[in-house]
Amino acid sequence: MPDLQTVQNQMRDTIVSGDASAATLAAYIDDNGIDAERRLQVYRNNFRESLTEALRGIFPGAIAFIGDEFFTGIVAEFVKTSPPDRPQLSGYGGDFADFFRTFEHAKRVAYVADLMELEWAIHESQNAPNADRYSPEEALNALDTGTLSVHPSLRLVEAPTPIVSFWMVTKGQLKPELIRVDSGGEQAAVVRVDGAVQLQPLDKDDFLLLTKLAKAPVSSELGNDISRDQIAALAARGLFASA
Amino acid sequence: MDTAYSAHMASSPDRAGISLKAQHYTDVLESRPSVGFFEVHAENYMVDGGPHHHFLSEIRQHYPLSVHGVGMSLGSAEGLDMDHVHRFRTIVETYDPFVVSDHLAWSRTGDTYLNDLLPVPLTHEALAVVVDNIKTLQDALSRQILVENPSSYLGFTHSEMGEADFLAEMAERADCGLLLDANNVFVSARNFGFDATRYIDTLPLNRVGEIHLAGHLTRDIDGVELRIDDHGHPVPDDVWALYADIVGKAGFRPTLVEWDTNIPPLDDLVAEAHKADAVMSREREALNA
Repeated sequence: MPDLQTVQNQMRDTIVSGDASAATLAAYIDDNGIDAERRLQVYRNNFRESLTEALRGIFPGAIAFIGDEFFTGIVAEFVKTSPPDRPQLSGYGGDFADFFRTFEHAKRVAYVADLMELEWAIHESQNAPNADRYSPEEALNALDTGTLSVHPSLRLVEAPTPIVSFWMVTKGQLKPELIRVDSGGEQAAVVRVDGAVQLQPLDKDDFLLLTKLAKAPVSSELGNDISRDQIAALAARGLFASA
Repeated sequence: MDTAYSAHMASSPDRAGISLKAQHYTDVLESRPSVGFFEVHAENYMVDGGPHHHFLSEIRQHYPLSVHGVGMSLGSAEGLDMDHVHRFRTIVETYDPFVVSDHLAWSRTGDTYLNDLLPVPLTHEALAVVVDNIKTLQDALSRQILVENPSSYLGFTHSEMGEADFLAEMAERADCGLLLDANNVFVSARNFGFDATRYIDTLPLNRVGEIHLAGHLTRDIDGVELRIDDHGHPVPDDVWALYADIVGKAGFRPTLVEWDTNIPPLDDLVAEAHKADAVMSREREALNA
C-alpha cells in the first residue's frame, strides 16, 4: 500500500506534466466503470483550465493580439514548467512574459511579451498596498526632508517596443494599422489613483528619476540635484506617497 | 464544541447566504440584497490592498461573513504551509467571520500548488495527517474550523473506510466542525454509487456548522455518467431534495448557495438563496406541526 506522500507526489507529477502514462498511480485507483486515466484526466483538465482562466484575466491585451487559441496553447506549456508554488494565484504569472519571449512558436510575435510585462505591472498595481498620494506641496516637503517615496502601487515599465501604443490598440483607442512594432521603445508608469489603475506614458527623464526614487527615498543632499518642478509635476500625476 | 466555536456560531445568520463575487461588488452595495450573509474565498483576498479589500470592508459593514479557504491543503502529507496559515489568519482577524472553513482535500506537495481540491485516500495514515493539520490550523486561528466533505472523481483501492466514517472520526479527533456540502454528497454518491442518505446519517450532524448548495454538470464518458462539481449551474432538484432531508434531520444551519463559474446576475443568486430560505421554513413548520 503506497503511503500518502507517495500518492500525492505521483498525482502531482501526472497532473502537472499532463502525462497519460501514470501506470503506477493507476494501480491504486478504483476504476468503477471509468478507467483510471480518464478519472485522472478530470484533474489534469481542472489544473490546466483553472490556471488558464487565471492568466486570461491578467493578460487580456496579449490575447487580443495573439488570439485565445494560441494563448491557451502556450499556457498549457507554461503550467507544465512553471506551476504555482502557493495558493495565492494573484502572484501567479509574473514570469509568463519571459516564458513567452523564449517560446519557439512565439518568436514571430515576441514583441507581445513586452505588452505582457505591462499587463503584469497593471495587475500588480491593482493589488498593491493602499496609500494616500502626496500633493505637489507634500512631495516637495518630503523631498526636503529626505523621505520622498514613490506610491506603493507604482510600477515602471520600459520596453524596446511601443507598449503604450499596443495598449491603446487593445482598448480600441488606436487603430492597429497606425502602429509599427519597430517604431522605437516607450516607457510608462502604472499607478493606482483614486482606486483605478492608470497607465501614464513617461519621457526618458521622468522614467530615470522615478526608477531612482523607486529604489530608495532620495536623501536631502541628493534632493538638491533634483528639479523641484519635475517632482511637483510627477506628484500631480499621483506618483508619490508616504513611505 | 469548545466555547470559541459556540460563541461564533451564536451570532450566525438565520437566512441563507450567497458567494460574494467581484463582478457583484457594486451591485451588492447599491441594492443591499436580502440575504443572510456572504461567503468569500480567503485566497482571493490575500493581496496587500486595492479594490478587493475596499469592497469587502464596505460589504462587511452590512452583512455577516463566512471565510472559506480553498488552498489550505489539509490533506498534505508534509503538513501545512505555515506562511499560508499566517496569511489566512490575517484575513480571519481582519474580517471577523462568524464561521471559517476549508476542505477535506489536498492541493500542495513540495513547492507545487495544484489549484484543485484533490482526493485523499481514506486510510488511517491520511486520517492522522488530516487531524494533525486541522489541529495546527485551529491552534493558529484560536478557533474551530469547519471541514467540508469533498466531491470526488476517483477513489483509491487502498482506502480503509468510507468517506462519512472518515469525516466523523476526523471531526471527533480534531474537535472541528463540518461543512456539509449537499451538492458534493450528491455528486460523489452518483460517481461512486453510494447511498447519499446513509452517508448523511453516518455523519455527526450536531457538528455541522454550515451547509453548501451548488449546481454541477453531468458528463458522459464512454457511456458512464460522471458528475462534475463546477459551481456553474442552478441547484438541481435532486440536491434540493437532499438539502430538505439534511435540514429535517440536522435542523437549521447557515446555508450558502455557491456559484463560481458562469456567474449569473446577482438577482439569480439571491433567488436561489430565497429558495433555501423557503426549504428551511417548510422544515421548521413541519417540525412544529
